[in-house]
Amino acid sequence: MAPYMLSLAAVRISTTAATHFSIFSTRLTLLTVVLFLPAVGAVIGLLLEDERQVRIVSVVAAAADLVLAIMLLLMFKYGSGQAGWQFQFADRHNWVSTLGISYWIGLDGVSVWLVTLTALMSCIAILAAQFMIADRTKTFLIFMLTLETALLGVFMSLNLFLFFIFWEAMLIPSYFLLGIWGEERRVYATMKFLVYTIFGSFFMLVGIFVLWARVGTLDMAGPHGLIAHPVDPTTQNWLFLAFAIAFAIKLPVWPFHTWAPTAYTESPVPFVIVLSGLMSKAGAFGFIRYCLPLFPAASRHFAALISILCIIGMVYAALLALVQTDIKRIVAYSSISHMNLLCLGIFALNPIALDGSVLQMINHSLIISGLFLAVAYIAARTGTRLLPSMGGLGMRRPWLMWLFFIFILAGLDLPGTSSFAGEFLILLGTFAYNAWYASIATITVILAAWYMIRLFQDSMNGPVSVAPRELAETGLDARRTPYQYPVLQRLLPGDIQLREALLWVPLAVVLLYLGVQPQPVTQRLNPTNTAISVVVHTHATRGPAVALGGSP
Amino acid sequence: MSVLAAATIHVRVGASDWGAVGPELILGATVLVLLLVDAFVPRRVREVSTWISLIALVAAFLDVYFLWSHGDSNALYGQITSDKFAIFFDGVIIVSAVLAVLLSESYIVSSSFDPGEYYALLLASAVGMMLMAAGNSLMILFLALELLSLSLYILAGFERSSPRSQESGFKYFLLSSFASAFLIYGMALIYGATGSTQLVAIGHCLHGSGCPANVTENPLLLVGIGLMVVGFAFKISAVPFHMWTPDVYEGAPTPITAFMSVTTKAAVFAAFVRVFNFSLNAAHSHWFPLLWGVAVATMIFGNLFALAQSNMKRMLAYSGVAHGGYILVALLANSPAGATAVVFYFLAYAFMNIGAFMLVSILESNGQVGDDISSYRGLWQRNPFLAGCTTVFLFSLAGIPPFAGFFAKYLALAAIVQAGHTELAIIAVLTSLISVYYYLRVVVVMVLQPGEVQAQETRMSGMAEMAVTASVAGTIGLGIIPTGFYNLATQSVDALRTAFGI
Amino acid sequence: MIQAYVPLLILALVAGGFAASNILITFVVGPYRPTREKLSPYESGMTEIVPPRQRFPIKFYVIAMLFLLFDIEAVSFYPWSILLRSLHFAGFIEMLIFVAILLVGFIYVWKKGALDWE
Repeated sequence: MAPYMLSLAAVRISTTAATHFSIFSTRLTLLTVVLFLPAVGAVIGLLLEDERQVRIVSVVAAAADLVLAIMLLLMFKYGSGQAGWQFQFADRHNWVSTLGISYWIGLDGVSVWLVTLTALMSCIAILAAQFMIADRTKTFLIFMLTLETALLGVFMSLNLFLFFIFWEAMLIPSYFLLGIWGEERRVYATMKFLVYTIFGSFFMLVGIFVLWARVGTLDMAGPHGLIAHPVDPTTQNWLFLAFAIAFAIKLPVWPFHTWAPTAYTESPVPFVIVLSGLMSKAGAFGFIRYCLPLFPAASRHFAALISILCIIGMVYAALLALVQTDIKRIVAYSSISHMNLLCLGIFALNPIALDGSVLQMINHSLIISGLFLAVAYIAARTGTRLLPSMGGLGMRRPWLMWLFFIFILAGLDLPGTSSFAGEFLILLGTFAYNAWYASIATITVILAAWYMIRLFQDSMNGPVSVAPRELAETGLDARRTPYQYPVLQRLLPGDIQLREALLWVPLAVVLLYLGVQPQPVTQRLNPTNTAISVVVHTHATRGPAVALGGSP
Repeated sequence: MSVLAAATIHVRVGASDWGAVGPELILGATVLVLLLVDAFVPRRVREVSTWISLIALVAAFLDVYFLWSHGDSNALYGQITSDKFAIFFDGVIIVSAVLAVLLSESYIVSSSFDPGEYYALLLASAVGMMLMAAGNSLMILFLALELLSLSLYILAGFERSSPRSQESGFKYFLLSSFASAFLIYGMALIYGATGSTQLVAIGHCLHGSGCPANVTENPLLLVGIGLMVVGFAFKISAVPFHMWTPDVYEGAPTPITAFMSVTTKAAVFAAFVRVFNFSLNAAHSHWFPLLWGVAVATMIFGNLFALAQSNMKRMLAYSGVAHGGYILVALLANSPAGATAVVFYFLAYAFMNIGAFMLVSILESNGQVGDDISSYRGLWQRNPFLAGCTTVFLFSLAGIPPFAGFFAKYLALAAIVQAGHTELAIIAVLTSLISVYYYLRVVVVMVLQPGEVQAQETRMSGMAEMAVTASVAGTIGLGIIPTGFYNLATQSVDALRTAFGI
Repeated sequence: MIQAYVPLLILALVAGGFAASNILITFVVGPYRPTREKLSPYESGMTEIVPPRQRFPIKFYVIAMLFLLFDIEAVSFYPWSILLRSLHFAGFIEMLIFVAILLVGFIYVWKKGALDWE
């Protein structure tokens, strides 16, 4: 671990001004800046009175964060001589050292991608909010920026306490984003979402206490860290369950998913991009970062159980997606189905399937955001979200149809889109683990094709249906935009607008590019995932066989 | 040492002895000043008593700050101590009193109270609480408890025209004096069993061979412990001695409810830690099962009863019961970490719980209905600042990071898990889950449900605004940067360990 | 551990049993011969002239309480006077403070009109 000391990893912004802004009286590292930039934007937004200024601040903060995140991605070191599991750009400060609590952030090959993804999707969500939310836009944007910092913190934390803080901090902005700006049944959806997720995370909290009582630190890496000191197998089993329930609810794994369709359906579109595109990834990331390396023996012990739950979940959600009439619910169930497949890949416990899972996290985030945007665009033009009362949209709106088509294809894992590469790797890895699981999982690919094509055909093709105009003309409410369902304002005429297309294009470009070139992702992922699977398969109770970089 | 021997020695009480109770003396003298002000100053300039109280509290706080490094742990013949543990609680009590005074100002105007008596009683009860935290002998603990209780009985019934307030004061008086009787009976038996009322001496006696700590050889001790548990459990409104809490909290003037909900518990828990975790540490195996049951029942029933409330004050009363349960869990850890958690918990609890009551008080000062949760609809539009701050307090009470309540609960549960009682931690988090539901239901009404368009405006006086701002700053600040105060809490417990040699 | 509490349990049972048996025995053994006079409020047979529950003016209570308050202070003077020599001047000062506090209370009570009968 010696070669990867802080000096190598931390890229410091060596201006004296930065020193004074730090509450820890040390210099700010790039990673810390990336983490807190959106929060700083939120605080500035809170102090500003004018809504237009807040809009500008939010876009600037999100875009600057995206640029810095891409810089992180480019500077991330991988390849020869970088074997093992290291945490780069590390930044560590003592916080409450007697309790093993520290402020320690860093990136490995998995989290560097998720950080970049978070910055990208938050940027898109914040841009979408500019024209999709008309009521109390200022507050909405402030919550979105806060949520971005919390998400980044979840992916960056290298201390379990810090992780838990960010994990729970995600809930507060989510609560308001869903509760204030959601659709009719928002209050019900909010309470269900919150009670479910807190239920899970409180168990994780008990797990954290036990880990601290047993190991005496909450730092993840380093020679004294939690990864290097697994607890005894019996305790591992209990702790694994305590952590897994939190992650399974967030992911959501069947049967802990019931909050998700309601929450996804009732969310405002910019928030559902973050909720389904990023927060579900936090659950999957939790499995990879915490459950596998901290409880290796238990992971092996419970792998079959979780795999079976995932298989049931993916088939179940795909079947439900087939019979929904509300297009937002179709997309919601397809998201749940894909996330369960992704989770199956994680518990195959080998590097190939892990690579596939992480790659699929990126793809799924891009696809599901594109599809939820499509739902909003369609509903804004037809005034309805019910498949039977729409049809023939593509006749008049070719651009909408073709761009939508890209996401439909990616959603059904067509070769050439990146989701094919991801699912292929997952299935390949799962075959190595258990051929039966993989075979059943393949069924969902067929089901995915079925419901995706149904979604496309019934909305874009077929006879032109007349939009329920009387609904559209009644109740002009200036505080609602056409994107907020039920659509009360005048419907949008014509084909897709430029600003709508601009949200879609980057998603589609990345999807298609990664479809042909998945190596840039897998190359960075692979050393980390290999190291994780080595940890999972080698330690029972002894120390790790791999180097753990990023020391204090 | 017999009474006669005490008579023959030269009794000397020096300046340092009085210095050790400096904050109490400052506030006690202010009580007298306030009474004279009330008697002589004409009615129209009575608000001067608000300022006198505030200045006295600030002066007392400065003295507390000074005593932190110059305390005397053995003042007044070991009766009263100003060790860091007591000083920390003094600080918490003074801060709570300041918040209560800031909140009371507009409340007093709107309900036309007599400010002089009101503040005099408030400060007198604060003196009682501080003495309780500083009491190093059973006698002082009892006297302090009576001082704080008597003042609070009157304050709870201060709204003379309201039958509810009358009921509140009278109920509190009757039931609490009953509990005091249990307490003093228990203290008497412990004196009988150990031969001393000094806590340190009792501790030494039990640790050495002087007084056996098992039931067959020393049954008096155990009966005494049982009776003291009853007395203390009543004062911290632990289940099954909690019945008075919702009625008293509901009827009392809201600033008083806010004040007593935090500080009585703080004072009694300070004594609780001193007596049970330190003085009676050797009898741990005897009081542990008793308090285990009380803590579990408190967490479960406090939270379940809170679920059913539609009145904010009653809901917060039951939530206070539940929080008492979490603090009992920290106490049950019977370790320095647990005691530290108790200390830190009260600092966090002072800001967030008084903060949560502020909404009720401010609405009532506006002449609106304050304690009916359904009347909060649309508060987010009427007064976004107040609604936002109350949201922070409720999130913090629910134990959601990054607020103070989370870190406090974290410390408590970490201590109990470390002590090997994971089952208590699991019960605590499961019951916290229930609490999330009822706290957030208030936020749902306040923030998510729109109100009528022509709603009355909700105004805040400058002092109330200051109180809300201070509380929200405390709640967020203690959650994000707890290190400094956590270290102070550790030091305060270390002082106790030195004093008791544990 | 649990066995150690057995003596306590026995004590509780004996105490409760004693109380219960006393009540039971008087109930069973005692003769019960009610007459009209015996059942009237005053057994001597006098019928009340005025209703026994009369309202007292609140002033009685106030005065009684104040009397108690200021009478109790005398109790603390006795031990003080015995120990005065060994308490020295500091003891004297302390008693002055004590009296001063009471004096403030007295002034307050007086000023508030609690001593006025009419």
